[in-house]
Amino acid sequence: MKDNGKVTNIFLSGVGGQGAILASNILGEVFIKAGYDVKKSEVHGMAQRGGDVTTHFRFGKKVHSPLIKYGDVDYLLSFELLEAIRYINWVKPEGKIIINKQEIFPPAVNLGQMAYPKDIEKTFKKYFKENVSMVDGQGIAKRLGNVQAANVVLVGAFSKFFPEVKDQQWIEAIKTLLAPKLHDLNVKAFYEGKKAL
Amino acid sequence: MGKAVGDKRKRESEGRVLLSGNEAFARGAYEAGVVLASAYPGTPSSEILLNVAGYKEIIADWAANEKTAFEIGIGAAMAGARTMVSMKQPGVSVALDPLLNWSHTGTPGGFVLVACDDPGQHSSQTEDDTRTYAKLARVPCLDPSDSMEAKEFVGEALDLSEKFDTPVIVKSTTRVSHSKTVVDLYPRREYPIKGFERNPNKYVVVPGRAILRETEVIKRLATLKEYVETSPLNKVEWNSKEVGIITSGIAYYYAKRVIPEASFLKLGISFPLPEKMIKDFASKVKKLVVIEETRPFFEEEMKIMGMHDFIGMDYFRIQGELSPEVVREGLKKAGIGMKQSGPVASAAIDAPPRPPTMCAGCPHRGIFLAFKKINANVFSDIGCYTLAFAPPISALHTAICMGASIGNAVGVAKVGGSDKPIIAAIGDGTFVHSGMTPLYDAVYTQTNITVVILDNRITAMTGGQPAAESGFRANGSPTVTVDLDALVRGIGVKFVKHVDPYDIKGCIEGLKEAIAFEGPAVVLTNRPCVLMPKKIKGTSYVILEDKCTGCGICMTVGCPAVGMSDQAAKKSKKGEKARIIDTVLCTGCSVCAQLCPQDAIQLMEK
Repeated sequence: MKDNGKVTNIFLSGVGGQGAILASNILGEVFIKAGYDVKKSEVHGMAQRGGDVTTHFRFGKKVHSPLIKYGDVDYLLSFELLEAIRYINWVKPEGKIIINKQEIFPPAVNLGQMAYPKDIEKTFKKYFKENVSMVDGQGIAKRLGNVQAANVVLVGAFSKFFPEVKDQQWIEAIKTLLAPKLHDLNVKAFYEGKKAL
Repeated sequence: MGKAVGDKRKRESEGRVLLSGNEAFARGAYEAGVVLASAYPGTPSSEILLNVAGYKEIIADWAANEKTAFEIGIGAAMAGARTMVSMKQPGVSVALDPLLNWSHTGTPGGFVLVACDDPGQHSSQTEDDTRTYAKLARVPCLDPSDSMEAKEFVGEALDLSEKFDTPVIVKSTTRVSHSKTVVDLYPRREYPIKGFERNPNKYVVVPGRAILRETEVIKRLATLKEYVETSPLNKVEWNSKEVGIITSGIAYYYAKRVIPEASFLKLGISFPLPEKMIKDFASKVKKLVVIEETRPFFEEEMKIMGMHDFIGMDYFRIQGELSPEVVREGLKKAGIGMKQSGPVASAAIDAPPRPPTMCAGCPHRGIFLAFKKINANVFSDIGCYTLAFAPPISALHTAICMGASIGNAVGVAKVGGSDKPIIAAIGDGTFVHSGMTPLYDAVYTQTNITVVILDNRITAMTGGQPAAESGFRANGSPTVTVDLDALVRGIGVKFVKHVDPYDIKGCIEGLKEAIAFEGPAVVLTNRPCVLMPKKIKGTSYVILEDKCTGCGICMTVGCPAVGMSDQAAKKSKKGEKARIIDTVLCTGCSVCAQLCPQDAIQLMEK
């Protein structure tokens, strides 16, 4: 982040309804307030219906394309195991990865036509070694009283990659984007996520 | 925008925010003094009106379809009010008739049409190009590359509209509409509404008058061709003269990303093209490249200008979206060197696809399962229910375009071309859009078809926009609800029946009665969308492990709440045969429970 000429590429992936888009909006708030040029791109419209959701997120001094190039991802934040492995070859060899441990079967697997890939965690660790972190977003959020805060748990874990950004900046972004009645839960979720990594 | 004006607006800036292209189009309408906005929802354009409705200065409503949205816009502009109409590109084909005529008459108030293309067909039936409509209508087409331009180009388009007496199109694409980029906000400028002034020689398109307007349109296009040569929206950026790139829209940024060392001619106006500017640029660079998305529009226009020596679309793509990779690969294929190195890929994994499905508790599921049980030929339409074509439901057989279902069913029935019952299945929103007129045809010809109106009281597929059946308007204010029962009876349908789409047996009985009726029959479903405008969540069902045999019939409903998982299989003695219901997702619709032969699916005890 200190190198002003560099653009940082973050790729978020998940399943419609998991809150991946909210997570990317929190990132947007944080990095635009920190004075960066930010571009992010997602395809929605069908996402509400359980399809896959991806967000390309780029920040730096000057960003041109809202889309990340193949093989150019610095950070992969994935909300579901299959949706992580789908994009494994987008990540740079030195890229860092956080994967939520949740498993959601797509229709072809439920109908027995295709197999859900096995050993996703192992495959990631083979290529990216200690740069891979697994987080139990649902488990942590459930303990806090609401599974739907799993996305903010993951944002909390992800925040560890950016020590220059103060906790307060993340909390402010969360409060800007969520209704007041959800603030307490999600602030807790953020800190628990941070602890999980 | 002149420099002095630009500086003044910068000083008045109301802040810097991250906006999607669609949010920026809405903000642009606000800043440019738009008084009325009219739209029909369609991905990727829907968020434009949704956001316009948040500005109390603008009257914003969803119209019945794109044609009426456009015609309401014409009315406001006839009264001299600044007007914005928005829709997706296939919607422009629905509004083509008024677009072509409004181009002929010209407009007293500024009139902008924002049309969103969907290259790559993320959520569209076709991959067409709005620029071809601009050429057909002989109106200017602006082509923003990011959200700041999206916002500013709305104002530019309205200025051009008033200056040249023409409607103006601003074209977007999925990536411009749905990418968020940084935007500086400026205050609103007000433009007084002039009021309607009679001028029948200009606004009545009878042939004797229209022929005079044709002369005006030809003159206007010639003037516009001169104007674009000096417009600040078309910009040259000189860098190395080894490679010169002509581009527009999002493609500009992809090219900037992979070959920033090249010179650029960025076209902010993609119709009409600045011929002198293009030829001048071409003469100064060694290699000329045209990078554009969707159709080879610039390429064809340049060929008409007599230019042939350039690298064009064949190198990049013939179908689908552009991306930085596609641009990079294309330049490589054309033998153009780039300073940046290519990607280093790790492993590729064969991952099963994850297509969108009907939601848990969707009211369309039960009735489509009923269609399947009675083995009807189902002519369907555009909406969430189109997803019923996919396995495991697989219960509809055609979907051509908005409103086509009823007309298609009438045609098949008239030639006696179906040995199975004929059902036309259409959503409430699509029925209002363009299903009423073919129902009139069915009544007029007394054709024996069953029309099922899937009334979930909202335009769901595009994100839950209200329509005449919803009881509220775009800004949330309450209004009357159109009574579909009375409407179809008014058209002359003699058989109208209401069914509960969660009750599969009830649906089958209702459908059988309708099919037996001589003449057109209508069946209306009566359950609202489970997500919009309010999330509906009843008590969940659960699978009793002792009763479940793992037969898998519950999986044939295609519900995302009913499934298998490796995690569940590990915990259960049934192993891979274990079925589970996700109690967070399950809304308690009971459709899977109705199908279970073992009664193993029961309401969860509290």
